[in-house]
Amino acid sequence: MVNNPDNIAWSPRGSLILCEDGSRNPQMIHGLTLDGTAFPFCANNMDFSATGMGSYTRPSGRVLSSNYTGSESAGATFHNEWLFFNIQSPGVTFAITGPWDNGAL
Amino acid sequence: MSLRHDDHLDIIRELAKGESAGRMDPHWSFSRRGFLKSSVASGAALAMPFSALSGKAHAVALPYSPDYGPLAPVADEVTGLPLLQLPAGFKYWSFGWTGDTMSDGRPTPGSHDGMAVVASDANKIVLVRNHEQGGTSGAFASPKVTYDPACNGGTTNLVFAPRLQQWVGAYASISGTIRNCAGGPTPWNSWISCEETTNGLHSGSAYTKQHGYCFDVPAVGAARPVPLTDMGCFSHEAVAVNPATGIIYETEDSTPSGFYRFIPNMPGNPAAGGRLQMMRLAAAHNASITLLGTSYGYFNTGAAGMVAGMSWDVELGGHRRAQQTLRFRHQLRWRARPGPDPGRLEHRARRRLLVRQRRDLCVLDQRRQRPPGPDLRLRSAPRDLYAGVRIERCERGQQP
Repeated sequence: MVNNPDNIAWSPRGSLILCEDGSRNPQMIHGLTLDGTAFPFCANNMDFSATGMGSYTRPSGRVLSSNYTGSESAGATFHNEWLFFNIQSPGVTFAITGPWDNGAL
Repeated sequence: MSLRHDDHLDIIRELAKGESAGRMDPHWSFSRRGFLKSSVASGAALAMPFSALSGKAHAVALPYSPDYGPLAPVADEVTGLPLLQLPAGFKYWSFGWTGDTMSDGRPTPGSHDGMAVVASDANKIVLVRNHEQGGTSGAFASPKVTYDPACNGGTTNLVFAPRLQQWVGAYASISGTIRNCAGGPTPWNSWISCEETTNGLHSGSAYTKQHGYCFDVPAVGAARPVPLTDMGCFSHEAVAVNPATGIIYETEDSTPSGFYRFIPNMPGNPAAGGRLQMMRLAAAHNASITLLGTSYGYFNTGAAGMVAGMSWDVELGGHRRAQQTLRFRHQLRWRARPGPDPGRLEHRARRRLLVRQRRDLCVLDQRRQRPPGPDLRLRSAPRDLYAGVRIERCERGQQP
């Protein structure tokens, strides 16, 4: 089930996107169709620890070396074939696109 | 084809000047005259979407969508790192990491939170993003768009070029606020950003202003760092604008909390003020709150022991004039009209004004009181008023 859904957004095909703000790890974004079917759509995979993908340094010089997969997603918003959302820690925004018409979102 | 290295500066400068506002569609493609053009909204209205959900005994949770398929790590188009897991066929572009230099030369703030697309044209999409920062290390935007120079919350505007599949740039749009958590997009090409707090001068020497307000952040042009005080001073969560009426519905992240609606004097222009009302349920009181030594009853859904399927009727009332509604201001002076007990009492509410409703009494959650006036006496009112209270608001120095 969905873990503390917080921000929500309509998708262009009339389903809902739900951002999780709970304690599950990894935090996820779910789709919810109008007939009540929920499914995970996206999972936070940002593990920069040594047991994950390893340390990552941004062009700004900021070094990321922690596991952020439990960080909340927020701010999901659709525009035509683009889904935008945020992950609060370490703080990053994503633009996602793909074969939306294959499914309910 | 892609943008040249410094193209983003020209695009961002143009947006910041606000000249292109008239040529961009709002997120809902909804004109100010009220004609609904957005295919999403019209489709949803026709389909009556939530009627389908209410008919189900329970929701079905699948491990993954049978149509999109299972999730697997996908490489970011920008960094090449597997930052997200997605179904096959989906691609993504990361942008705006905390610390990255924005188009205005400032570092990207942290704690990315609520966000929405607020305007678009053929070549670009403009988003406003909240930064839920609650510290007093100083504002991250220019003084021109800063409310309280001590506070480091605020918003940034982001620009994406969908045809080029690339991010264009970002800039700080408002700062000097506290914990910009959620909010909502508007049909007038803006994002209403909401502070999830009630801190202010009374709660710390660092603050220079009262907080707990909503701010209107435009897609283009400079924001006005002036709080929309009539939308209420409390721990805001989200807002939703009814595009047909301009009425703005507001949620509160507090315990207990209310569900509000703001009726603007000018639909589409919340800065012009309006009336704020709290929803009242047709249910007997089951809880009480003590304010200024007096206990007031109210209905608390949590105390009722919520179970799935419970519902309550909403008490409806007409749109009456000043007697039934309350106006919130940064500094407020109330006078109760003489009722059964003659004599006027004054009360100044400096901070949060929280309305709890009983059948005949409106409760004010006062955080500070200035003499004179040891108490606020409320006169009972007919039950058919929406707010159920007769409190008349006076400007400073006015006679009631």
